[in-house]
Amino acid sequence: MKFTINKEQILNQLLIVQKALSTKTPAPYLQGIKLEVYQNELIMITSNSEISIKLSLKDESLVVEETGEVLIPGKYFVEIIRKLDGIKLDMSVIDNNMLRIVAGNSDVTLNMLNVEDYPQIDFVLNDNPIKMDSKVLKTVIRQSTFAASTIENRPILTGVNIRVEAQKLVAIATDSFRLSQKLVDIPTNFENMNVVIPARSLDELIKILEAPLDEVLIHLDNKSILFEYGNVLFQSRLLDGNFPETSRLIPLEFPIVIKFNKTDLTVAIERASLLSNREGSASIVKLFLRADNVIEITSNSPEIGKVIEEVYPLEKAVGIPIKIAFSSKYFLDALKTFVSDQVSVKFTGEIRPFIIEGDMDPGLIQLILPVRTE
Amino acid sequence: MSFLNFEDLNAYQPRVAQMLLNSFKKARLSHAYIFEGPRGTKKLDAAFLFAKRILCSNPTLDQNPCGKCHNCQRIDKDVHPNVFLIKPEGEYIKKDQIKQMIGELAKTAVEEGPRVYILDEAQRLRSEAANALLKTLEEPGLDIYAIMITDSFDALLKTIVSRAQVMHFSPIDKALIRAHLIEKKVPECLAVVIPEYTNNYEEAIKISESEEMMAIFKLIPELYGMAYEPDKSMILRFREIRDSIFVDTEKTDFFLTLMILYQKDLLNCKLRHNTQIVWTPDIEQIEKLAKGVSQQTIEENLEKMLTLKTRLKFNIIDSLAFDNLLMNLERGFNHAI
Repeated sequence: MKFTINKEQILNQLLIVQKALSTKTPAPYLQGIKLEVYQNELIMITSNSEISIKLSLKDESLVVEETGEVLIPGKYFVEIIRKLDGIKLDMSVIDNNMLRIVAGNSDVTLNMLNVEDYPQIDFVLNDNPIKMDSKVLKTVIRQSTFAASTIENRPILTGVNIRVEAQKLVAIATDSFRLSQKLVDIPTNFENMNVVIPARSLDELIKILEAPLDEVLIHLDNKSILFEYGNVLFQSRLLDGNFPETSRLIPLEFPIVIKFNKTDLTVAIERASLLSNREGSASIVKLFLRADNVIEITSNSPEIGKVIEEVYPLEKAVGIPIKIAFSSKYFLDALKTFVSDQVSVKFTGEIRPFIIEGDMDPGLIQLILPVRTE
Repeated sequence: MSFLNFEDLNAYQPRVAQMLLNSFKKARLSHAYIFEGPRGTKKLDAAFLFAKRILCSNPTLDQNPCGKCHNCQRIDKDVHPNVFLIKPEGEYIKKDQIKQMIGELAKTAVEEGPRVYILDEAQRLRSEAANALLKTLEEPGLDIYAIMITDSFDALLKTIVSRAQVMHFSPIDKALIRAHLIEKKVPECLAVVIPEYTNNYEEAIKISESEEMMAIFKLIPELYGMAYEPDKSMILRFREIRDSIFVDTEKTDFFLTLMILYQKDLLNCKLRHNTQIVWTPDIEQIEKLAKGVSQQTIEENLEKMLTLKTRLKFNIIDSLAFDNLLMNLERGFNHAI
């Protein structure tokens, strides 16, 4: 293997593929970047077993003298190339197991890993992929992954359920205390799909979808899902098993509806949650719809103090007075996913789940389970 | 060293090889196995053979893995992403290790094909870890196989045992190890003695190649030889060289095992069971010694040695215990002569 290429070109692509580089796994071969050199194309593959990235680089500056296939220790390779001065890099294999990089005044040799050890990762492309706008996909991911479970007691809940049917895409994530559901219309009729993708994979995918490019193609296989974004193929393993049926969890009728200014509500809850000695989702605030149509948000920790916040709804609240308690973290997380300035919080009862919706966020529902306090 | 094929395994564990072969032929595999048997009975090698057979891309007609395909080669190097080997981290297999594995199995396979997870020394599963494993053992995903390896079967949770098929690995025939050692040009006397100490072929070779172990080996006849020489003393000689024996428990144990074997030879000689004597080159000395002591004394001392062998596993003061033993031994001979 021997080729030359412009440093900027290869570095930019390396920064993308290194997102799938494994840092923790005990398997040393996954800490490598697999480089396949063809006559006019450079292919880089990385994988941390959960996600795999394959990237094709075709560039005028690429001059291949000899084709080949190598596995290079990823971390050192990227760091070295980042720091090299030269504009042109000259790479070649010497002594069968060393990579020599010559650029400017530097001459670096790097011990390689055994390319035979690398797993056989198939990047399967379908004939009829689902087409999606990358911005829409990014929004869907942002609005769902946070609600997925982070503890692995029920592995299936650490993923986001994505279903495509009847020109609609639904993304659902839940950790069994809250649920996020986003529905988007897709223009054409694609084949149905129902998969659970690890939330962590999707969080990585967002970072890849930064290029000025609109279209993402989704290829689905029964073992994996592959996102094609320009010259990048991003593949994730799926979670095996059935995602719980969530459609019945979302109530259909809401006798109590309160409309808020999102910012007012956010700051009120943030202030109320300050005086809680419990961390994270265990911090509880209470919401009280008074008969005089003012909403009181309170929190009370006997050993620290007490907060009462009054919030005025945008319109006269519908329904009877209600008192409900919930985790302030879950509520704030949910509010953050809305772009709308006005959000409606809809209740069915004091110990029943409630949902949040926004005017400008069609198809997005955030559901939270209340906490029993008395 | 992993097995190449089932014929190799058959040489050591005919029953297990036959059972596994049959299940492959009839395509009736259990989702979980327990490989159970003493140390050095090739349990781990058998597990890797199983993994190779199941993942091999073109197994031969007689159910053997080809050993040449990419899958086989990576399993031999333990770098296959579908084969997980879990070993105790420190003293135990911890819950985190099991949880990580369960999380891994909850996802679809990295590579096309079945997945095999191997738990080495499964008796060292912490109870929380074992309980976490139960559900996965009960409802394994499609094409997922578990092999648990243990040398103390009774230490496994009943609930785990009931969910798996148990395969018993019998102790390896001593004659087989002996033949191997002789093949490796190990002197015959050694080749007879070492299999009495270990069941593990690799370990046997290692011992025969270790100079320190050989020094200990030569010491035994030398020590016994002093018993009938009036101007020499077993115990004094022992005190000169004992530092080389008390280096670690392995060497101490080896020394004592050899002493026991020699003592047994004395008894065998006394009982005229000459064919059972292992220390054949020393037969003259053994006869001479045996003539001088009563059968009762030999038996008493043998018993003391065996007790000491179990005690060695606890925290005792080795030097005092051995002094005591050798003193008894020497006194026995002195009385006789």
